[in-house]
Amino acid sequence: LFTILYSIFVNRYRKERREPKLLSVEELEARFDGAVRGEVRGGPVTEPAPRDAWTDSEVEAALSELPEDFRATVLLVDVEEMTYEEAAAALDCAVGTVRSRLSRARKHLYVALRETARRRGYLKDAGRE
Amino acid sequence: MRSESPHVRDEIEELLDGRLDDAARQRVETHLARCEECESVRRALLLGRESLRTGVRHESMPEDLTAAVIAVLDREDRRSEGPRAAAQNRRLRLYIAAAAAVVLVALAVFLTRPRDLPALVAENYSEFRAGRLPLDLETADAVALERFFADRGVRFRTRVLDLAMMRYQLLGGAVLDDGARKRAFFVYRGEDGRLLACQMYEGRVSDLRAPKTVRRHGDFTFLVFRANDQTQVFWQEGDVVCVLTSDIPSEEVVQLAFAKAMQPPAPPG
Repeated sequence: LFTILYSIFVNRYRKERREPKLLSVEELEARFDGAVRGEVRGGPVTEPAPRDAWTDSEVEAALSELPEDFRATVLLVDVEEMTYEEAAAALDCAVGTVRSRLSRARKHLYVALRETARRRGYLKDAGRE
Repeated sequence: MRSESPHVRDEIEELLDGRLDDAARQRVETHLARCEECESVRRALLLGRESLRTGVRHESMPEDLTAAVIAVLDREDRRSEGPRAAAQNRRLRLYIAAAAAVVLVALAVFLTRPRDLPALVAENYSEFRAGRLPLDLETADAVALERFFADRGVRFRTRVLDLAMMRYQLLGGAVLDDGARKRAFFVYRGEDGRLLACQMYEGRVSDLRAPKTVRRHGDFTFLVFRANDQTQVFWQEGDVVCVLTSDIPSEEVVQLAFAKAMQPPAPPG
């Protein structure tokens, strides 16, 4: 079911928008590591996340910055709560691909939402990358 | 504080997604308890996931999907077989459009399916931990909370567990209503700040899906579920199902359930 739906959405979205570019693996890892190190220095700031640290629309905006392959993977696993194997079958890719896409997508979301929280004053300067 | 053992960053996502076996999970959890850096990575990845679960709506179906399917098929027909073949295939295309409609209906049913109780309980815990599920009554008084549940229309007699001996302080509770039943939800905080949630509702544990493991202790059977970084232990007390949920080590949740399970008193007469 999701394979069919996914194929249809891919064709549809490709017409409507340019493919967003995800940061390179190295750049994303560097930003993620910087953010995590900031939290180690400044203390955890975002768990539990303050209710107004970011809005649902900002979560969706961060999600929309992901290329569609990554977005589909993280939605199937984290929102639809599919297993890696189910998501791999739906997206016609390897389980290892699901794993790596998930990792990058979650790191991207964390970095993006942390930046939103920082803009709102929820992070100390010590935590700034 | 740094741990002497190697970092476990590559295994943290597997832990969050419940994909580690018990031995590996215990090893990773032990490391996380001692390693601030890896624990920060866990929190960060969990935050990314939880923000999606609570902040993303399901995508609605495009209204023009059927027309889009037919248009794509038309283009394929023109490209591969020419206009004459396309005309001959009109009936086939209608069948495919009907099938697409069926797929959409099935998808709608799938997306709006009722969540099973282990999933609901896991979601409630995550929501509370993320600060998005407020307590209706904040109190450390178990009797007051039981009275509150009765006043709020919870029909069965709740038993707010006394966990002071286990060094968990009662924070308060809320009545959760998923449309099918009212559930008494109450939460404790341990000395280390970790949260432990309990739920009670009228029902049967036999209605739950198959658990990850089944444990037996005394006269009780305990159904143990794992959801991401949480452990959920369900057991039956008379007509009421009790659930303990936490992200503390799995065996600790099971042992707390063992310690607190209690048969209700027999009805008079």
